[in-house]
Amino acid sequence: MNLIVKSRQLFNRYAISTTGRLFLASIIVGIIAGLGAILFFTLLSWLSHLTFHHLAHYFPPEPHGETSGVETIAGLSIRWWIVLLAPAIGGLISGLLVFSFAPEAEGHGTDAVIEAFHHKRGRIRKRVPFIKTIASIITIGSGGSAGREGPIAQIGAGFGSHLAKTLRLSDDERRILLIAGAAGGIGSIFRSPLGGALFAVEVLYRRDFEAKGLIPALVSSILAYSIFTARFGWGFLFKTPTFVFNHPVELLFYAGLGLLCAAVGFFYIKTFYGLRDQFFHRIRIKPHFKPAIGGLMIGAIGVFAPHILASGYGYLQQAMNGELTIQFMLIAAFLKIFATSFTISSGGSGGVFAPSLYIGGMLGGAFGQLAEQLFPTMIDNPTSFVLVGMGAFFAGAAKVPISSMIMVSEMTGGYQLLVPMMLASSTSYVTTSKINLYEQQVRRMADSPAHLGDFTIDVLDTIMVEQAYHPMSHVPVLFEDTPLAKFQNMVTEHQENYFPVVDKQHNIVGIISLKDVRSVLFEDTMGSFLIAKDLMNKPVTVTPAESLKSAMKKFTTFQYEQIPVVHIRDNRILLGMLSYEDVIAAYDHQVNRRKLDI
Amino acid sequence: MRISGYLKKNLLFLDLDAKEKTNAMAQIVQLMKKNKAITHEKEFLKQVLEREKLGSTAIGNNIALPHARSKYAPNIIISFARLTHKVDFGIEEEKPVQLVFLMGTPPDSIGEYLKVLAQLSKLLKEEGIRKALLKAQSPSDVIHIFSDAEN
Repeated sequence: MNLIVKSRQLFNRYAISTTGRLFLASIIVGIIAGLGAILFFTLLSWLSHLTFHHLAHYFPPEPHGETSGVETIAGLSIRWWIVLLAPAIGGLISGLLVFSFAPEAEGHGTDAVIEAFHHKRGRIRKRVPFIKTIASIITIGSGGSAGREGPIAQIGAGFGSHLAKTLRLSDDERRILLIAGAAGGIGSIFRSPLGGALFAVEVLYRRDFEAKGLIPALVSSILAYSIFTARFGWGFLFKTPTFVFNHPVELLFYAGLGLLCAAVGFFYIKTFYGLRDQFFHRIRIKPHFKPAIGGLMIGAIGVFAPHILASGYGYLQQAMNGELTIQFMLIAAFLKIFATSFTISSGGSGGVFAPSLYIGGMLGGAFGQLAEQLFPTMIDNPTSFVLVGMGAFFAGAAKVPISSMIMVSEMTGGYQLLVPMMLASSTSYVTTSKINLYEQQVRRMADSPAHLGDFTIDVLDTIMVEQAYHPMSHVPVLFEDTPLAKFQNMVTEHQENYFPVVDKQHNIVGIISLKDVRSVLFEDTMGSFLIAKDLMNKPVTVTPAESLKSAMKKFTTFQYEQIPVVHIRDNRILLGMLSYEDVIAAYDHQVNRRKLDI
Repeated sequence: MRISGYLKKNLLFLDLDAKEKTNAMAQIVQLMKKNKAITHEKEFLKQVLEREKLGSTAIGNNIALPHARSKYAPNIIISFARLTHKVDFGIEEEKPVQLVFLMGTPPDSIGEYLKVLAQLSKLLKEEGIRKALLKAQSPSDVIHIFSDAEN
């Protein structure tokens, strides 16, 4: 405990500014996220190896960058009953774990991180990342159709949030470290450092970025990526031929793919949440057991189409290699939609990124081959549509057009297809504006409770007291020896509720609030001997050079509706009064002016 | 709001011999400090006198209510002194005073303090109370006069 206190003191001493603090903390978050990714990946590979190779005798293809070195053993036939039952058993264990220990974390992990950012002041319960990670490893490792981005985002974000709590950082700083953690986790496990960082700041909003989180996200992602790849190799997840984009006319087809991705994305999201709300939520058994039902359903598909099990990256690699047929890829894309819905919508654990890549990639592959068959002279390389499909599908479904492109480029080791991907992603993004895969996303920063007040205060920060206050000529002033009897007359003559009090040299010495003195104001026994000095309070003042934001804070602490405005160099010289209504009016005026400017 | 609730026997002084108003107030403040009602004698007296300079607190009928809002008053305090002979509390015109209620209050408790002042000045308008105060034999008598009136 002492160690924590000491390191907190040290940390706060050497990282005085917020930027400095966040920079240092992001380094720690990145290191832990990287180590977490190593542990997560190791355990997941081990369980997948056990389930698929040892028990089921099923040797799915592997992506180029993640080969396990296991050779297919000839003569062993697939144990179909294991393929059928493994996801159900995995679903049962993961369901019992999640719904017994962290029921609030149902669903895919990234959504939980987004929710924590917007609605829980960046707080994640300490046990949630652990439970969800184990549950995800079991879900995916037993064949469930889900990805790693959800759990790894939760591991990184959970640590970021915990570190912020230990260092007693503010809510804003905790949110930033949450982003940094998610960025590190995703950047490392997909070997996509820039994409992971961009994803973490982009996924929070449908139409915005959390720009403040970008540098901490990059710092964390750099470290996490370096640690992870130092252990598992520096290559790319997928190996692709060198694509070249040099036929502008191909853009027409890429735009067409963008539209297809949008339509299928719409179907994916409707199926995904439709099955959850209309089917799994309506089954009348404890939620603990529902993932087992989903597992059995995906197992049943897996018996006929084992390629939809788990992440399916090996098949995606085959699509990139041009080894799959149009028919296979189309069926695979649609079966994957259902497989993912059965796995996650039933309450199972795992991310939605990997399945989205699979669906988009297969769609792209089928589209590319079809286009080549119909217009052989216009299509240079049909497999490039696999990559563009991956990026465009996730860009539209998850509302992350920028990070989706970068992640796919980094995972495949090339930026040659950036231009087609930009077009397809934008098309898919703008045509699916009404729906999204991450339910907790909000539209813009202004819609997030995390930024509540930012925008009002921003406007007030730009207006000075000087532009809003009433100068002296409009303000009734009392001397400190003004008798109550005279004050009574003034009250009846003026509309004001607050009266500044000055001494003989006209220096401000106090302020009288009618609210404070109402009980004695018209007592005839008092009129003869009470004076203004007896009725006044010490004033809190503002200067003309202060912003209305600062004035607003004073209104709140002082609880008066008017504050005396004093000279900037001599706070005894009264210049006028600033009222709460003046602030509202100035705010209103400024907002209307800004609207006109736009 | 009961004035009798604010009165304490050790702050009620009968038959105080004072030459003039400043001396009367100085003696009362000294006794207040002696009885630990205020935390600083000189500063508190200064504040009472400064307030008095701005406007007389004599309210007629030989009564004055000098007072100060001061950080040296930990709570609302009312002390009372009956002078052996009248002194002048006036500034421009003569205002003879024999009954002095000297009050102190923390600077921020304005609402309650004004209510106490209002109640006290209302009670002192009654001739019966004034006469009884002139005849009181002991501090207990003074408290009884107010509690009876307030009942």
